Amino acid sequence: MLRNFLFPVYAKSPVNTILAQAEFIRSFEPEKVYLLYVASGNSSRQIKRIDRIEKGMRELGLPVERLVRYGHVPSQIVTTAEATQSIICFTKKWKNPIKKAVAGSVISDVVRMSDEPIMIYKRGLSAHAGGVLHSSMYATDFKHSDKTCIQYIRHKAFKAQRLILLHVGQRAPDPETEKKRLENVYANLARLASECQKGFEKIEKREVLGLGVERKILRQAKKEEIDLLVIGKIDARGIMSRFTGSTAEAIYNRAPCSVLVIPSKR
Amino acid sequence: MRGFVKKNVVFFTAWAISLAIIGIGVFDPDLLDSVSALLHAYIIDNFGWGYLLGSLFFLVFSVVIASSRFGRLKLGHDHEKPQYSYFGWFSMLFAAGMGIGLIFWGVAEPLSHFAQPPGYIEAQSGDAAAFAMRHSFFHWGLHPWAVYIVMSLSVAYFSFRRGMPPLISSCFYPLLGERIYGPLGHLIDILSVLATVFGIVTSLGLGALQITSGLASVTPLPDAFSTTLGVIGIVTVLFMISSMTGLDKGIQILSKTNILLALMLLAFMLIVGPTAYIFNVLTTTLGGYFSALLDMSLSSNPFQGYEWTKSWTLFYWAWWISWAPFVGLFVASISRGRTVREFILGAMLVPTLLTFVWFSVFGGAGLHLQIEGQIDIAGKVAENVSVALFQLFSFYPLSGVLTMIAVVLLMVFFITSADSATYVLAMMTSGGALRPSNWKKISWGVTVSATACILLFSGGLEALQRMSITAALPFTIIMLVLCYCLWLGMRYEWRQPHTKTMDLDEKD
Repeated sequence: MLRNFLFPVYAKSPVNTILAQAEFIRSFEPEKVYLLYVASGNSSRQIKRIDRIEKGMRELGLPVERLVRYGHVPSQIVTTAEATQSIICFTKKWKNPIKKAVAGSVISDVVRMSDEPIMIYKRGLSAHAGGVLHSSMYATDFKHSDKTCIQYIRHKAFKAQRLILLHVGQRAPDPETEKKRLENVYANLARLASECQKGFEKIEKREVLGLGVERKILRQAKKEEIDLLVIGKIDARGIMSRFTGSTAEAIYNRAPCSVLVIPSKR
Repeated sequence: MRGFVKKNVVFFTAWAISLAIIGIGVFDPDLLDSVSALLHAYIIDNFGWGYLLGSLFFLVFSVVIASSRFGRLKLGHDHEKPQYSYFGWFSMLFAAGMGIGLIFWGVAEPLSHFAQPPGYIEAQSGDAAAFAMRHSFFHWGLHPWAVYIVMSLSVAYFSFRRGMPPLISSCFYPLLGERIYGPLGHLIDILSVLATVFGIVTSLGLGALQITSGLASVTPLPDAFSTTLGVIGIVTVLFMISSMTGLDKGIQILSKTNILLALMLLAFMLIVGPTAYIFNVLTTTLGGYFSALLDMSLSSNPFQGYEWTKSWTLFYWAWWISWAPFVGLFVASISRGRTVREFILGAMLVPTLLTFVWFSVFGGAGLHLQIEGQIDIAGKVAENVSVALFQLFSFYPLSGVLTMIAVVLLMVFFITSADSATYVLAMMTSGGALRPSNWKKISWGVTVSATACILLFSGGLEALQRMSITAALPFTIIMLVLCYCLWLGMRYEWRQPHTKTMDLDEKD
């Protein structure tokens, strides 16, 4: 876990942000950092870009290996990550929503398809490199993903001064059941807090009520000035979810901070 | 004293607003008439399409819920059995939901459509007859019951399964939480009370007119205001007595008696009337209804015939929606112990089927006289809609007896409607108490009857009916949100099976 990292490089990948993310990755003391280029033809500009990134990473002391694949970009990224058991590292870049709707998004497709963790990096996180993050937030639904996510959250590289455990719940249909639900929620948050105790100076438990889980998580992340948002991902099951995508897919693009998406099987 | 007022805030506020609006109808009926006409025209002109979409949505929603996994949920404890027998339940359902309207429109509506169809159909033609029957089925068929079902299912689910007071505001708990006990919840309940008061006052007034017409045609009593006043007086005394005796006795016994009377009248007309013709009308119209259901559900006819759609379909849809709080609460209160599927299928299919048969028998007989018998019954109906049924009887044997039975039927339907409305009003203004106090029943009963008399005299009755229909617009929105809340509640329960039901007995 957290030994191998895969950096996909494709059209217009921002070199400086990738290197900033690589700097952050350094605190994980990785065994291997893969630089993946999915070629769709000969592009001297892309080759130059990869050269620069590779050089920068080597200067940071990272064990880099360059990989070249051909074909459908998201599929190649996912396949390679699975083969190398790597965390996929993307850099967050604003994309025009209309352009995204028409042309699609590699990150969106990878988030949807991948069974490996994905880190979507936002500039600024590396400021904490070598030190401790200011604040992290784990949005939990107390389901399958908790067990996997906790393993990542407790990793020393994700150490933070403050961890917020957030649950966005739906109000029960009547006051008595609601009371029981809240008791249950706080018991679960307390259990998670005790499991995470080691890596954090302060753990806060939050219960937010309402519909629109994504919106609520994003609002909390912004309000609390979170550096890293950790969310689990389970494949969308219902018909509507298949159209709208999972919560993770909805969140990564709009999050004001870096996001770690951790897929887990049912 | 302060605690008493706070506890009865919905009662006093709704009562004060009702009296204020009714007061305008009494002292300045022209003002109420012009304001209500303006509001009504504006809403129907601009949001009529919303009623069409809303009603179709309620129908689809009901069918989806009935056929989904939620259909297995019980409106009460898992082990609970229905409180009323099927016959008692269907009788009360029918009496509260349609009863009096069917007597009023059973003959009049098909003949009105036949004589005055929308512009794209030739009046008094075969097409007009088929259209008339199909649209009578449409206006009184699945859609109105779907509207009632959405309301009553929500109230029944949140009160009997989730242990909350049987109020419309309770259904909003998944969305509003504790705010349902505050001004927002009160607002929803006050709106429901107002829609019910206005609806029952107009229904009482118009029904009294029809009873007077019927009595005048078989007795020496004059068709005058004094007779109508007497009718309202007698009906009021009777429905107050019935209301005091509660659901289990008064309303149930009267409803069962009424259904038996209605079935006897139906059977008699079927036998002495053109039997084969009636069955042909029934089968043909059933086919036409089901094959054109979607088309009728969404047709507002903006190119030709929009005026007709406005005056009939949109009027009906608004009327059913404005009537929904009353029928919804009443139907909910008699449906404890049934499963969601049983409730939806029973409340949707049985009354609809009876309605179809009723229209085929009475509407079919009327059309038979008009088309085959060359008697211009449609012309007479156009002059006075309330005498349509009695006009039809005059062409059949034992017309005097039939008219008397119809008048009794009208009166009993009338009593059951007013009785259940008084019960529901008292319940809504007592924080959802299933056994509201008698003084509240008396207060509402007297208010409703006195208002009907005064408005009949001053001429503000139709204006009040329009005000009641105006309330349908906020209610359409409220009901759409209600569907969402119901779905949220059921989904929550399904996902958290350990929270299925609580100890409800302590709360009742």
